[in-house]
Amino acid sequence: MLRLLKYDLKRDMFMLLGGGAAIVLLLLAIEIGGRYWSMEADVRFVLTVLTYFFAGGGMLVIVCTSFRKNIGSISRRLLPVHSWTYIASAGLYALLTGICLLVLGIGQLFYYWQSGLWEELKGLGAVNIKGLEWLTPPLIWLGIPFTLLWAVILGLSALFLAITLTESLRVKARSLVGVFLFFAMGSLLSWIENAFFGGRGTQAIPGIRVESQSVMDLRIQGLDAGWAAFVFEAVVVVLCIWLTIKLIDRRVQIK
Amino acid sequence: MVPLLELQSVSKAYGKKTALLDLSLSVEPGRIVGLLGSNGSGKSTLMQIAAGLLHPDSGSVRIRGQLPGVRTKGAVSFMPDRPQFESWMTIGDALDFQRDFFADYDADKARRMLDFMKLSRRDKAFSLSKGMGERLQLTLALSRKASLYLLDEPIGGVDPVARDHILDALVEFYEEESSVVVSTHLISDIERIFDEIVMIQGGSVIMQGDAEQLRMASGKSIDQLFKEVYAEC
Repeated sequence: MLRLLKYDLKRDMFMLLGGGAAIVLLLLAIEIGGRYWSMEADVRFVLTVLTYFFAGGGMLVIVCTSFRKNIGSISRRLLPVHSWTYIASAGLYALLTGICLLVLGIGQLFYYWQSGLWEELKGLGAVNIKGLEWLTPPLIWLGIPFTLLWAVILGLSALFLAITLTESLRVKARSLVGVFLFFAMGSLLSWIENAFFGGRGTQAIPGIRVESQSVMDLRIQGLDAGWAAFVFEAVVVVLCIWLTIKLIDRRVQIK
Repeated sequence: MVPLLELQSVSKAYGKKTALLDLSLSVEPGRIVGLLGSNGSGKSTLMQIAAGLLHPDSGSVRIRGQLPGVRTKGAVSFMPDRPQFESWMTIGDALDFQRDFFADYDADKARRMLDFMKLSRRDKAFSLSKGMGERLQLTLALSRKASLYLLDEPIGGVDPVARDHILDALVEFYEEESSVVVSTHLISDIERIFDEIVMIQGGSVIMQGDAEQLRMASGKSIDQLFKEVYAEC
């Protein structure tokens, strides 16, 4: 798994380093350039959050592309490794890139606290964190990473299944079929959770939702959700992974 | 003795197109087997099934008595008919990739093969000419001490000089206790190295036997025999 990841990172090295440098430069431009052109703190904050949002999206695209290449590549499929290692190494890839982005974000938050920007943003009403009032500090520090990680696992397992299904089809416009399947799966999951587990979410994949309106509203869903919903999602994850492995073994076309 | 490769009544279809039909085949250790057939006869499908890349629709496949899977992939070295290295790799990267994943990788043999093939570790794998690319493919396949080598069209599309060099390398570097299955339709250049031949047409075996005995019995070369057999089909 780690050896597969090593070669994924080697293959994508220039894209990752270039993308990382571009994100840092963009964040610096927003902060330094924004101050130079007298941009309001809340505008800079919104631009910064959008940068992280698109960087996260970009990383997800890189990870999914890497997974798609690996399951269809003859050089990878000839290796004496179990099919689950393709899924695990892609998951690890996502975790690794996510941690890099998280470290950058924590660094930026630290800068916000040190420079007094955080208080300024709260004063302006630009930052409004809801849904965490009932949490005590140990739960926050355990709960937030766990919720984040769980959302990533759930989302990635559904995404990997959709990609594998796409790579298994022998029809034109199969990418569109994959996109449709992914959103259909997400909607079905949300509907089931709403109907049977007390309304956990309405977006394609449950987890953290950032609503970009007049203020940034960060809602962390799921921390207070019941165990039944968690067990249901765990079953969905296992099913998605099992199906993905079966498809890789039996149906995916090798190029 | 357990055959290295055993296929029993294997069939495979792509939609409505039949690639293999009730094909049975057995390869014993220490043999170089020529898998001969025209384009579209099912050679590559058979190779990919033996390499564990494809699953047959029916029938059974055994490698050293085991079903194709992770363990058999570690015992089979497959040279596909398309590049098995990735576009970003140098020749060194491609060899390191083999080293990292296959326990039977032989670094010393790989080094000797690079010299023999006149390849440099620093060269970009995708910038190689067709002939040099085939040499690299063969280097990657034979740099392992595998039990079974499957070489899919190793001399397809290369000039006669490169062809001879590739065949010399094959004879020089394959493991004698292993078996080699070479699929090809360019028979005259390669028939000298075969111990056994299997001719397939329409996904079924139409002739099989010891190469020398077939030559003696027919009084013809394998190439002539092949042309005769396929003219009738």
